[in-house]
Amino acid sequence: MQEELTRAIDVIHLRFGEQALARVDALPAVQSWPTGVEAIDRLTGIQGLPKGRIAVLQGRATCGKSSLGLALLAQATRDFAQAIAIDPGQSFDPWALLEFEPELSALTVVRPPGAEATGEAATALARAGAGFLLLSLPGRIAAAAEPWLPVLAAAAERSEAVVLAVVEESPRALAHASSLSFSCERTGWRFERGELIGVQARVTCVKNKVGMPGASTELEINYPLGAALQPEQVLAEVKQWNQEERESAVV
Amino acid sequence: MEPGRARVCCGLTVHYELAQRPDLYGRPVVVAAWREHVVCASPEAENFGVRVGMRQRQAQQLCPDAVFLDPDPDAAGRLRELVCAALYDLSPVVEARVDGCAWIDLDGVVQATEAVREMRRRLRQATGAEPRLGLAPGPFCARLAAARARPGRLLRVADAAPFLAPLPIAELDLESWQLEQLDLLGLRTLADVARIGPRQLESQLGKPGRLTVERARGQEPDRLTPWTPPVTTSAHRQFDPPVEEREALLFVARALCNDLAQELALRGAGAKQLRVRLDTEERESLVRHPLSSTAELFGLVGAWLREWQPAAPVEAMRVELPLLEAAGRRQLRLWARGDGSADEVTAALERLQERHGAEVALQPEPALPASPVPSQRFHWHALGASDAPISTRRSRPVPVIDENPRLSRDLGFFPHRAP
Repeated sequence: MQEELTRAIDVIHLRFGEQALARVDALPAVQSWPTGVEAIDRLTGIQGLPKGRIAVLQGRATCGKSSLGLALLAQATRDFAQAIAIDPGQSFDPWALLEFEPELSALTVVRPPGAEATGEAATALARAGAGFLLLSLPGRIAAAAEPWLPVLAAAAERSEAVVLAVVEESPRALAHASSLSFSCERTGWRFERGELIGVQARVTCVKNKVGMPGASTELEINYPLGAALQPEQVLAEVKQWNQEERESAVV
Repeated sequence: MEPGRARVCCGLTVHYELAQRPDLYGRPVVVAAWREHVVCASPEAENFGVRVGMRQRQAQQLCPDAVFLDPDPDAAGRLRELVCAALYDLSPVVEARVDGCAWIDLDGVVQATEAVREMRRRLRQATGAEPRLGLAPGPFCARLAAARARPGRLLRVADAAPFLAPLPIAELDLESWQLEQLDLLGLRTLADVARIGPRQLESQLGKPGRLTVERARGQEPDRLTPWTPPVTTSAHRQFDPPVEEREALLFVARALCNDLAQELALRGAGAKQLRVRLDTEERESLVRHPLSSTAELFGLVGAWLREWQPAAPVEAMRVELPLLEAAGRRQLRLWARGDGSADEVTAALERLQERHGAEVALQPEPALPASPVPSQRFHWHALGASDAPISTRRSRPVPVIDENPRLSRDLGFFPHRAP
C-alpha cells in the first residue's frame, strides 16, 4: 500500500512537478513583496502583496483602481527584472505610468487576442518566473477566466510571481482563486484651482488568506498632468515627428 | 613554466568499464571479452597478477574467482562524456580518459580550492568511488601525485622535480621494450633519467626519449587535450504499441524534455534550436535565447503537440536539440529580483509571439511623451524585433499638428504642474 502510494506520488511529481503535491508541514511561508504604497502594504497584513498568489483589485470605473495598479506596476519595474502588463483590452497606456517613474526597460506589454490566449500568456509567464504580472481584465475576459485561473494560481505559486488582476467586478472564479482582494471605491474628486486633479478613494481588503481581512484605508490618487516640457519644445518635437512620418510614408 | 605553481588537478578513480558495476567494488573483477585481451582489472584482481593486455584465459587462471565482464566501450565512453561535462563546469580545460584519469586545469580559476572540492564530489557521484586527487604543475606529475594520495584526499606537489626523483621508471608511459632498455642503461629511477641529456635518450628511444627526460625533470611537456561539449543532443522514445492519445504523448514529451534539461544543466548549455519528430512529421523552431529548463523546452514542445493533429497512431517520438550553446551569455541585471529567470520569461514571450504574432508582446519606448496626441507619445517595439517600431494605434487618423499654439491648446495640452 505504501509502495503504491509512493509510486503514485512519484508519477504526480514527474508529471506536474515537485510542488504539485507536498506535505503541509513542508509548505513554505508566504513571502511578500513591498509595493511601495505603505497604505496598501498595511492592509495586507504581511507588509506587501503576497508572492506566488493572485491578488485582485476591483472597483467601478473612475474609482482609481487602474491608477493604483499602475503605481504598483511602476514599482515592480524597478524591483523586478521583468514586469509584465497583460492587456487583452488594449487599453494600457504607458503615458499614465510615467508619473510613477517606471523602469521602462523592464516592462513588457502583452496583448493576447482573446480570453483563452490571455490565460495561456498569463500562465506561461507566471510559470517562467516573471516577477510581476498585471492583468487588466475587461468584464468579458474575466467572466471566461474560470478554466485557466487554477493553472495560473499553481504556476504563480511555483515561481513566486506576484499576480495582480484589475477588474471592474470580480467574477466568482476569480474571487475564489485570489488570496487577496481589494475593493476600491471612489469617495470624492480632488480639485485644485477649479481643475480636476485626482480622486479620493477608499480601499478595503475584502478577502485575505494571508492575514486579517476587513481593514481599509483612504487614498488620494492624482492624475498625471501633462509633461514638464514647454509648449515650444513640444511643438518642435511634434513637427519633427510629423515630418518623419511623412518621409517614411513616401518610402 | 612557472616553477612551484600547482595548476593541474588530477582525479584518479576506477576504470570507467569497472564503474559500470559499482556493486562489484571491493571484489576481483576483470573486464575482457571471451578469449580476448584484458581491458582492465580491479585492484583486487591485480593483486593476483592480472594485468591489462594479457589474455583472458591467462587472467582466469591467475584469478579464477574473479568476476569476468564483457567490455562495453559505449557505456564507458558515455561515462567519460558525463565526467567531462560535469568537470567542464569547473574549468574550461578538462580532459578525462576511460582508464579513470580526469584532469582539470586550474589556471585562472578564481576559487581553485572550491573547484578541487567540487571535482572530488562530482567524480564520486559519477563513478560511485572516492577519487584520489593530485595537484601539481602539470598533468604527468598530477597523475602520479593522485596515485599516491589516499582515496578522497589531495596530494599537493609544489615542486615537481624533487617529488619525481625517487619514483621508479615504471611510472613513465613507455613500452615494455623501452623500459627494458632504460634498465639496461642503468636508469632505474626518474632522477637517473633526469640526469642524462634529452638528446642522448632521444638517440636511444626516439622522440619518446626526449619527452621522457623532460617528464622526469618535471618540465611537463604534455598539455591537456581540452574536451569540448558536443553541439547537439536528442532524446527519443519508441512506442509499442503505437500511441494515439494526446495526453500520453504530452506525458512522454515532458519526460523527454526533463531528460534533456538535466543533460543541458550538466553541460551548462542551452538549446538554440528545437526539433520534434513524430514518425515522419517534424516541427522545428529557432529561439533567440537558449532554452535550458524543462519548463522552457516543454513549453514549446507541449504547445505544438496540443495543436498537432495526428494522421495515424505514433510509433516514435524524438526531441532533438540540433544547436547548443553556452546557457549563460548574459550579464545579469545587478540587484534586480528574478533576473535569474529573465531568459525563461523572454523565451515564454517568444513562444507567445510564435503562436499569436510578433505584436502580442510589445515594449514601449518614449517618443514624444508630452505630445497631446496619444499615438505620438510612445513607439512600440515587438519584443526581439529590430528597431522598426510597430504602430499599434494607427486605426484612427493622426491629426497633423502645426505650430498654431491655439490649436495645441484646443487639443487639451497644458504644461506640467506638480500635483
